[in-house]
Amino acid sequence: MGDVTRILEAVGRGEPDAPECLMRAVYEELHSLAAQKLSRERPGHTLQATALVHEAYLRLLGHRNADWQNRRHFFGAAAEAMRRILIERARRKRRQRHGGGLKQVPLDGVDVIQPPESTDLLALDDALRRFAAEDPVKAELVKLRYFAGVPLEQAAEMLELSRATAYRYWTYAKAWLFNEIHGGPGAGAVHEG
Amino acid sequence: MSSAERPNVEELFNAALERQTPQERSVFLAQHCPDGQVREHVQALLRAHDCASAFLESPAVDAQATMLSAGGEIVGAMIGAYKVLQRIGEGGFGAVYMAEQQHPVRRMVALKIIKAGMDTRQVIARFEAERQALAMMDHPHIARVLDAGATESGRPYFVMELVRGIRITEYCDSRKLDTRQRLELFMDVCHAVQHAHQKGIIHRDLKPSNILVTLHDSRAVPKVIDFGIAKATHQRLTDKTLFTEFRQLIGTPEYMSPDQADISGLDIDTRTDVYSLGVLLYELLTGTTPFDAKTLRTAPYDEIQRIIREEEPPVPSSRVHTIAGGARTPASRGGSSSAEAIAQQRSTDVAGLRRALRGDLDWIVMKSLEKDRTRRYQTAKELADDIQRFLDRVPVIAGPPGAAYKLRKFVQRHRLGVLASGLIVAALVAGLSLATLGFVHARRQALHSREVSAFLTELVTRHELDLRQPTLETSDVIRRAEELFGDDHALIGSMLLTRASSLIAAARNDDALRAIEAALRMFRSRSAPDQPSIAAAIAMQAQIHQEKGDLARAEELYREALDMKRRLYGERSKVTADALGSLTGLLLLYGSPQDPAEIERFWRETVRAYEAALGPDHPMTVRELCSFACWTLNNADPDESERLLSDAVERARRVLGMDDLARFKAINALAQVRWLKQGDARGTVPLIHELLDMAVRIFRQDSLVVASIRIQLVPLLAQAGDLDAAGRSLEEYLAVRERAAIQPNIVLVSLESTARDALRGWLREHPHLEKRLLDCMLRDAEATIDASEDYRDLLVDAAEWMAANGYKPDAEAAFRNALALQPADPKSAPQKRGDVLLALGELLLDADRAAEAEPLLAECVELRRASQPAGHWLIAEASSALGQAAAEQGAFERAEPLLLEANAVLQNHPESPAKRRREAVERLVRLYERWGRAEQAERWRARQPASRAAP
Repeated sequence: MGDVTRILEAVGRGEPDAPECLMRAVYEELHSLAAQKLSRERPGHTLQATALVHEAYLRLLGHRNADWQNRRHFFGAAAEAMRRILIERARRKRRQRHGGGLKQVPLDGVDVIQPPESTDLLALDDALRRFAAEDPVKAELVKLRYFAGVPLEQAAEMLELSRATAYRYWTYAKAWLFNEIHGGPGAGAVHEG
Repeated sequence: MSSAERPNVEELFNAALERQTPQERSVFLAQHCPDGQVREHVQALLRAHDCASAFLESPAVDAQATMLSAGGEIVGAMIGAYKVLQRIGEGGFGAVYMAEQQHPVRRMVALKIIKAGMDTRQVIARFEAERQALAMMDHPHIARVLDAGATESGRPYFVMELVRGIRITEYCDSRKLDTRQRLELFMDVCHAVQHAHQKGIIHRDLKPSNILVTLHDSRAVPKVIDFGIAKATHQRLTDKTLFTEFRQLIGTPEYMSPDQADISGLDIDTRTDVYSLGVLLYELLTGTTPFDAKTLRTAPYDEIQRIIREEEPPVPSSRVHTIAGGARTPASRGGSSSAEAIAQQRSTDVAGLRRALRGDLDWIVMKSLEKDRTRRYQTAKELADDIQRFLDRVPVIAGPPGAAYKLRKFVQRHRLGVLASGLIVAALVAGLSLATLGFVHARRQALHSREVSAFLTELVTRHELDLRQPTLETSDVIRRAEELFGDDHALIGSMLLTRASSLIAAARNDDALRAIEAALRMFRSRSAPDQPSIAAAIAMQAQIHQEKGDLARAEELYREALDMKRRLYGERSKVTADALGSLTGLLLLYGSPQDPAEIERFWRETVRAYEAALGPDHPMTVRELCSFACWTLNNADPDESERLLSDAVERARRVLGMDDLARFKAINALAQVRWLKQGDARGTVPLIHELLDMAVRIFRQDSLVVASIRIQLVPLLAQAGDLDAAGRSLEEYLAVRERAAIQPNIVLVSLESTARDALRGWLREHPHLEKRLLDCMLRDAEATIDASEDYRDLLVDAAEWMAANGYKPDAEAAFRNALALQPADPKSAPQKRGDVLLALGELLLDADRAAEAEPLLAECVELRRASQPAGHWLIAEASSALGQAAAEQGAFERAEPLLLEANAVLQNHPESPAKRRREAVERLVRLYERWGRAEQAERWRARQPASRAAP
């Protein structure tokens, strides 16, 4: 717990390597937590990844540390960690030429519930990277919501946005990304220009 | 576009979004955005916005997870004014801890911490809103909820009176309480719930784990816990994306009422608790819940919803019989749960338990479980009172299942047959069967004169002879009746008939027949051969034979009863009309071999009899006419059918309400006959609109019927030339399908495909709508015809469309599904499989996934080599793509001969398409470029007929 608190302080001071350190610590915690749970649960049990995120939060930061700055850093890191886990999974799956629909995909002995909609994660991730280059705040909002499951209201707080602004950003971000992924010819005009 | 313009795009987008319609938005953009490129970009974003409502809305991983930490951190901590001591339970909601309140008083409480992921502020606000009401509850069988708050990590918690007890079901089983003791305990629960209802509090989550039994001076005291919590934590479930959360929120669908199963869950009142009490009673009596817990817990959401809203559970007494040795039930975890074990836990044997449940208790339970809450006990007290009546051995309010119940059963049993009959809208409701069943029911009402029946019931109740007692033997009835009435055979006979109708209700047909025969002997001992009671008794016999399936015998008896009624009442009486109707209904049941001319003759006669007895505009007459006219649609000359239907519709519009099913069906049939006769879309559309208006009233806005009317309007409107209206109707249909849980069926698949064909040109301008339609078609087809060639063709068709319209991931999934369905055996349909392999392979090539494309393309080449003559361009087309796949993976040596040979064939084959020729050259150019052989690349490029530039 002390470690992470220290890393968070470093993030707060703006040390350049600190965010990546934090992300890795959270990533590690998520994985070890998952493995630990799995050894205790009966076979076939499915862990829900966002629950893991919340639990990781409790374990790493305890109850006291509810400072919003730290929460923002933490959930940002968790979103990034979840994004990496899911993308790795999607890549692996794509390599395996997996047939049927999106269901549970085992990885590292841990089952994670896949997105219920048929969003192509890899395409989304590509689009999100391009979006982040243009508009980092909105991309961050998407990451918090989509990968860490943070409700819009709380995400707004973390990013110091009013709720109305956050909602507007969210609407725009969705349209932008959707257009980027599904849009027809000419849709990508902005980043190609 | 420069980055300086970006805010401009966003601002324009936001401003345009404030305009409601696409037209307004276009006008706005035309005025405020001179730059065409920017405008096009904003338009694209707006289009994306319109399709993206569900996009990204559910997190990549389920946000509603419940994983409290192992407890280490919470035990010992202070939460608010409470010191957490020990974990005492866990459920779908979160976990419960024993805790010590420190101030203002020191006492032990139960602390329930709700799972993460809810809006804590809302939960607490809702709790606060009810707090006063909760505080007013003061009942020995209710555990008080004392406080609510939020942990530091933002999870809501509730503080409750600590109850140290075990679930009521476990308590009853472990103490082997008999049925009476169980009922007494259950009545305490009813009174507690009634108390809360009087204070305006609905529990919403009554189930055994919320009803604990504690012992006070060795007396069992049930305590209902968690009042007010379900409401505070209840979230509105209006969005499709919330479906996944549903199960976690409700946790135990076995106890959920049909009112709650509605996704909005808005319209809940105290009767929802009455339903849950009914489930609990069912479980206490039979050891199992009405619907199989395992099925409910594993079924997809819409299936759960369907089961709860539509399926009729078996009555308790028959459930006891059907519990198999291995079936696990929630009431008897860990123990054996065979019928014997369940009976033993109730200190009886299986036969004894069934006897105890059959009749009154069956009816009491089923009345609590009515789907329609207006038919349930209206309060928990009414339920308790009826149980008290049962215990006091006086007649209960609950009776045998009513006509609505039987109708539902009938429709369920015949759903497939009804669908196959080809009637569309009406068929989806219930078709002819509804009318037929209506007759039978009406007849049953008419059978026994109400006065006699009431008189007898009164009489026998006073003499403590309850004719509904299941154990009563017919000989007992006669003996008691003779004691009461001496040798008044007419009265004894009537009593036997009343007894017979109870037996029919209890499905004891053979006993009923014996009672009727005894009654007939009584009646016939008098001299007159024609008597109203004899005719009624014969009709009852007919009805029983009909139910048993002996239609020939039933017909004989109905004819005999009819003739007698004609002699007794004349042609112009309602009794005769009813008898004619019964006979017609029976003839209809025979099905196709029956001569339609005879049915028509009887039915016309029935209508005339009603007209004579009740007048031409009496609702009963009109309904009979409507049913008959509907029947002629498939069984008579179209001109005659149209004439009858016009007459029926005209009268129905005057006499019957907008929510009358007979009127609805007649209009539907009239629309169909006009459409069949003239193909006149313009003339039919107003009728369909009228149907739509009625359907919204009769069924729900989001019902199958309303949806199917909307989709049928699409081709009609298209044919009438109003394409935009057709498009709107399609959009409304899709909106319903996307938000409502409507069971897919095969009729919908064909309606959707008809609509798509009718609107093909228009849909080209509205690809997003076409995409939604295709998704819907695929879902419906998968659920209904998934193993058929048709489904595979639909998948391929949809996939090709999606690939061409930019829905690549969907296209890929559909192609893969199609492949999975198509056997790899080359003899079956090599061409189709080859086409799919090639299309999917090229889609993957497009997405730079050559490694995945290669094996598919290789299979395609192989298939085509086996099925096409050597040197055919179809083989070359595939091997060219295979060559590209190799080239993109750097296997240039392998790629080169493939591409060269394919190109040679394609350029020289007379039938090869120009696109393929050009593409073959392009692929060679790209091969050599990648290979670093610029000269060769240049040579091939020079051969390419001048055309398009590189993308």
